[in-house]
Amino acid sequence: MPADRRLGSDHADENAIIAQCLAGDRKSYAVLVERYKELVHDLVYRMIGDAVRAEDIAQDAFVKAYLSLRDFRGESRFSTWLCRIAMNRCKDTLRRARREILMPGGADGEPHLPDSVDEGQTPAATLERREREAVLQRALARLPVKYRDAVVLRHIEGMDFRAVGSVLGIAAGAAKVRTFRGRKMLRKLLEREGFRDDAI
Amino acid sequence: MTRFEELLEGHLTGELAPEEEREFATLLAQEENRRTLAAHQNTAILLEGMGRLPLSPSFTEEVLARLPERRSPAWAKLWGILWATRALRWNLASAVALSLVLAVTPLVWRALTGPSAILTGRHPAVTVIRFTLHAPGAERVSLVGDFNGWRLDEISLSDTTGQGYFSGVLPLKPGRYAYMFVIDGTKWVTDPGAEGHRDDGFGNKNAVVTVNETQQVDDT
Repeated sequence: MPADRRLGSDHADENAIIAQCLAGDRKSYAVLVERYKELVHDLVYRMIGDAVRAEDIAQDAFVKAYLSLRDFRGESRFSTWLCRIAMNRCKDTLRRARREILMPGGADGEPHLPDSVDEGQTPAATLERREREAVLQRALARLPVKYRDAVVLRHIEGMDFRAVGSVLGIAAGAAKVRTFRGRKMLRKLLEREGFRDDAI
Repeated sequence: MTRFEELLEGHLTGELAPEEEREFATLLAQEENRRTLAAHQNTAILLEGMGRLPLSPSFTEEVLARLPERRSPAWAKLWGILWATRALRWNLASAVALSLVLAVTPLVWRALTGPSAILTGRHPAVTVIRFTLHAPGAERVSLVGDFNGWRLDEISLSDTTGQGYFSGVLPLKPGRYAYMFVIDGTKWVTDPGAEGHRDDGFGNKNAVVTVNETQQVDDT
C-alpha cells in the first residue's frame, strides 16, 4: 500500500493549527485542508461513486469540521475525526438518495477514473488497469454500505482496524469482522463480473 | 466466522501469534482454504492498488471561501496587537509628548491612589461555576472542556461527601463552553444535568454551559 495512503504519521503541529483556527485564523485551516483533501475526497468518492458530488461532499465535510472544531477533543487523530464527519455526510447522501448505488459518475454511466498513465506501463497496460478499476468501483457500489465503509477505510484508505472502528463508531474487533465479510461479498461480486485472479 | 476465517483475517494483518500461525498453516492443507486465502489476498491487493481521482486545483480555496468568519475572543485580539511587530518613527514632537506623559503620569497616579480616592468601576466579569457529577465508585473525576483545551487531569473534582458526589468550581469569563467529565482518566461522561448538549462529531454529546455577563454564581 502506498505510504501516502496511510494515516500513520503523527502531526504534532495539528493542535497548534487547530488553536489558531479557533482564534479566528481561517488561513491556518488551509494547512489541514491541503493535508487531508485527497484522503477525504477519495473516501467520499469510493463511498458514493459520483466524482462530481464527491468534491462537494468532501468540501462540506471540511466546512462542518471547521464549524465543530471547538468540539474536537483530541481523543483521536484529527484525520480520524474528519473522516468520521465525511463518512456521516456520505451516509446522509446515500440515505437521501434512498438507494445505495450512485454509480453514474460520468455521462456514459461509467465511473470516473484517474487519467494518469503510469510510468513504465504501456498504454495497453494502463487501459487494462483502468478497466479493472472500473469493475472494482462498480462492485464496491453494489456492496451494502455497512460493509462498503469498512472495506474502503481498511483497504483503500489504509487505516488500521482501530481507526476504522473509530470512524465507524464500532469496536476494532467489529471493524475486523465487517471488513472480512465485506471483502468476501466483494469477491463474489467480482466473480460475477467475470473477474479472474490472473487479471491482477 | 469460522475458525479459519478468524485466523485468515489475523494472518492478513500479521497479527497472529506463532501458535495461531501454526494452526492456520495446518488448516491450509485443505484445498478450499488455500483458494479462500488466495481470493482474499488478491481482493486486498486489487483494492489497495486503486488510484486516486484528481481533485480540482481550487479545492482548498473553495473550502476557505465557504468558511464563516469566526469571531476571535477579545483577549486574543488584544494579545495580537500587543505582540505584533511594528516599526516606530520618531520626531521631536513625539519625543516631547512622550516625555510629558512620563513626567505627568506619577502625579496623576498619586492623586488617584491617595486616601481620598474612591475605587469605582466593575470587576472583571468572571463567574464562578460549580460543576458536579454523581459518580459512585469512581476514584477520580476530571473536568475537561474547550476552556482548557480538553486536557485531562488538569482540573480535578473532589468528593467531599464520600458518597460519590464529585464537584469543583471554575471561574469562567462570559461565553459558551463545551465540557465533559472524565472518570478515572478513561471514561468520558456527558453531564446529565447540563443546560444543553451539542454533537461532538463522533455521535456523542458534549455538555454545554453558558456564562452570561450578569451571572454571578451558578451551580452546574
